[in-house]
Amino acid sequence: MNQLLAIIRKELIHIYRDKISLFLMLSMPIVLIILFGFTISTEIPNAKISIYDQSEDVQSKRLIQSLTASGYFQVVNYPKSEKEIAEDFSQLQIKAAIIIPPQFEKKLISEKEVELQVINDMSDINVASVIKQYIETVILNFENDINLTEFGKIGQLKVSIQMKYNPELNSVYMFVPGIITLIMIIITALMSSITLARESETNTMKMMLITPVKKIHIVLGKVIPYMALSFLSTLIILAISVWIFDMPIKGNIFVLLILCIVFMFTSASFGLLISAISKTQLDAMMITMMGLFLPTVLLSGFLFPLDNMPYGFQLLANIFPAKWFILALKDIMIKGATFIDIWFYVAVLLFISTLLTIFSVTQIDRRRAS
Amino acid sequence: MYTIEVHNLTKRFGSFTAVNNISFQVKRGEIFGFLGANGAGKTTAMKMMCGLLLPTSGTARIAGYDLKTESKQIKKEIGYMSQRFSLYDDLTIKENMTLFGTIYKVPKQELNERIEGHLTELNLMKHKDQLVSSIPLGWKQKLAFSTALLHHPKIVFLDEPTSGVDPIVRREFWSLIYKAAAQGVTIFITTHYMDEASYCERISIMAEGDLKLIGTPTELKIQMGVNTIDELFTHFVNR
Amino acid sequence: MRIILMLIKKEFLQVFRNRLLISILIVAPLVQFLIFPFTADYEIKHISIAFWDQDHSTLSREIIEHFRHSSHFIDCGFIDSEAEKEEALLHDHVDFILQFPPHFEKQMVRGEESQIAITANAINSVKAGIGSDYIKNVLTGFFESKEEGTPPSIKKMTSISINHIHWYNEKMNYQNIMVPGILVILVTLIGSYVTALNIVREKEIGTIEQINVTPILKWQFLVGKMIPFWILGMLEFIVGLILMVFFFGISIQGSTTTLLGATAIYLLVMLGLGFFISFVSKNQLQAMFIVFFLFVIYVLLSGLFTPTEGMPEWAKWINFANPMSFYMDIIKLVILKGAGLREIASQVLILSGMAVGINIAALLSYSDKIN
Repeated sequence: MNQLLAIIRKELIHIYRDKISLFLMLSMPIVLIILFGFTISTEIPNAKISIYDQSEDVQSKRLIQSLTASGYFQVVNYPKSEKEIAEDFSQLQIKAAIIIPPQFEKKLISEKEVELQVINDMSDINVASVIKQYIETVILNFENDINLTEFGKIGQLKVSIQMKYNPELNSVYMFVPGIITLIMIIITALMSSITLARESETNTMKMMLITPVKKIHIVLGKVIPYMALSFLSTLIILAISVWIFDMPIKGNIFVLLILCIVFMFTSASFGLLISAISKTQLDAMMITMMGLFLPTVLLSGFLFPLDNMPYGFQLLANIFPAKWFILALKDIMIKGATFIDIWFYVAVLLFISTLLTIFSVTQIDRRRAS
Repeated sequence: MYTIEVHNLTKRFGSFTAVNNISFQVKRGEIFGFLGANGAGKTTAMKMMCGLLLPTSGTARIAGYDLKTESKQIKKEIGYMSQRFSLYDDLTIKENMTLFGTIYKVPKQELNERIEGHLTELNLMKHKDQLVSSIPLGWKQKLAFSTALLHHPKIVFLDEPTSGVDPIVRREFWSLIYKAAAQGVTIFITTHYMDEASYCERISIMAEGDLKLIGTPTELKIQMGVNTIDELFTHFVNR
Repeated sequence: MRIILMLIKKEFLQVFRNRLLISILIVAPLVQFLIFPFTADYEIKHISIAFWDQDHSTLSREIIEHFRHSSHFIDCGFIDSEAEKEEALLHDHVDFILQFPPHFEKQMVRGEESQIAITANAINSVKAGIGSDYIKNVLTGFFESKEEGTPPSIKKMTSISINHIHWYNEKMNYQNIMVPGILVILVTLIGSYVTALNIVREKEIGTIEQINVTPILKWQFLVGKMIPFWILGMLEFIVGLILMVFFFGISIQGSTTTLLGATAIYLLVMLGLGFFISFVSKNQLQAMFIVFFLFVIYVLLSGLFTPTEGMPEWAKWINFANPMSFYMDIIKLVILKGAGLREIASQVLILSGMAVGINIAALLSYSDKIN
């Protein structure tokens, strides 16, 4: 035990001395959450569009007026041919082109049916779907206006929408659990395994192994300080998300902290696993990145919806702990779930950690024996 | 006359003075021992002379060139073997030698002949295609020394070259040193093995950054009234 | 020249002996290409909806039927109480609940105001936003079709339909944007990570010291490091490109030569960055951290995952120092839109400037002396 404490102390000194890494480690969660919170927005202000008005009559001018007045768009050009539209896409980087057909007014007023053509730049689907939405909204309003003037008030139907759990549609709610997960993995799993590999690479490990200290103590002595650091980072993230992004903690804060501690152990068990199988720092880093970080980003459901994925990937997602942690965390924070509601997720996390720890410890001991 | 002339060389790291105002000369072809306990400043002094570390103050002329203004020329004339084995582990013996020989611009034909000569001398010809990571420490040290000699430098700096190897290898290593010195190469060697000090023509003793003594082993023993270098050494270290 | 060739040979020998590195160079693109395009799809596709019909009228049933026929929604059946509603939302069983109040039909027929209440599980804000728009559209569509069905004596309502035409990605395939994005990530990772760690490692194990005592010139060392990793990066890119074209069937609209040229320049930026970071950091941990830090910022701001248009002003300013966003632009423009050299000239120029700048910075920060 004393040996272990001595190693932990040594490691804490290392961490403290390497001011740059410490600074990066603690500012990473802040930068991540600010980036996710402020830059990820699905709104596209002043989207550039072109309008090809083939009729140039009163109604088409009125439509153009409503498009420009909507505030969604910046009409950068009024092309006069299909060819010119193509140039607008490639040179003016417009997102969409709206083509108003000839005899718009006639079709609109007397035939009561008209079709607009909208050419969308689908090279970025994310952008395109937002723009489509904007255009449809404006056209729908225009259509209602026309009908209103003709029929008087017909809108008896009102639709009320309640955005439950997240009334302001704050996108950060989705990301906070994901960021905590990533930070835990980086600090607990990656940092500990890298510093351990460094000791082997720079031969200080040999010095340690000459002493009667147990190898598992060396490994634990590495992992434990980083667990503490990752917990600190988690608290930072929670604090920012509550105070800056107004995220609620509806559930019990102790249940939340217990969950975080459990996940900290899960990440630490990954740290042990990576330490057990990697020899150099590059190994440790690459294994963490490809084997843990990437799957977590992709398969945890925090960035990309799991139910869009092929079935095989949905199954695969279950073996990565991040999915379970994120589900539980969201339920506690946003929905106010109690421990009874999330016990299953916690059980899965504990099961994964136990399995990994047992495997890694036997691996580490075996390596020492050989 | 002197291949190494050091004047008032000083290195400070913050408030810590690693090397304090040392001055000495070394003659061509001499085996010059640099003694001192760990942390006495030997390695720091040597690194400054090799151009790996910028001196805080003081000057030196190495192989006739000024340390500050002509470091490029100096680098061509010296060989260096660091305390920590620092050839590439993942290259073979021959690949390492070819790499460094090429960097020193030894003509290709010539280089191959020299490598072959060294490998035969070291009895490593059979192993020339073995990865360096797989060979014993003793071989590594001898290999590092031969590599440092490949470009026929005027001076070779050896930083504790024999630490951690067994007595037999150490003896073999010293015979390589004598052979090189006999060909006119100046050997500047740091060590903390006192028996090795007596193999040197002249030695100096450093302690806490200061150069305490300099002279031939016999002179120093007489000067300080002791019988062995060991005693001489403990005299300074324990003060 | 002989020295540089020797250094290149040395680097390749080391790379090919490093089984892990080799397997990463092979596995990384495969894994990314096999996982990314299938998982990184955040188009809102599966919106589940449940109904709480307190009216049980013909009209409410017709509307529900209408929703069931819409391809946007997954029908999750009916609920019957406030408690069931809470339960369904709490456990993520449904995304939306559509609630018809009692006397809904009666009010509508009389021309009184009536209200359909939608409750959204809004944790996923994007889904909640888009989903509620869909619901509104479906409702509008329902009432429009209902009007059309009425006898001709009643005046026909005007309807404007929109015919969406999709350019540059006719099938609206998500992979078309993800796959080129992966190419960018791949090149960035190989360029910056591998080089940064490589040099710091030489520093840590001391081999760089042995190099530093030799009369080698700084730029020779740098070029000797750069060329092998540049070649590796280009190879990775070409492999990725081949996978893209033949496996994902995304053809390159523009000129492949332009693409390779731009990539060559971008790689120089990334290599320079890797060198710079490796020279200023003391150990691999620091180097890794700095690269990772930059990488995350670059990716998030590059527009791969979210449109750059909606970002706040300060983020756009940061993006001017983000080589990845310029390269992402080039890749999208050339691969998807067939842009020529003229359209991407400004991005290429900026990247070239960055390449020169960062490599000079790297050269200056490389000191053959320890502090």
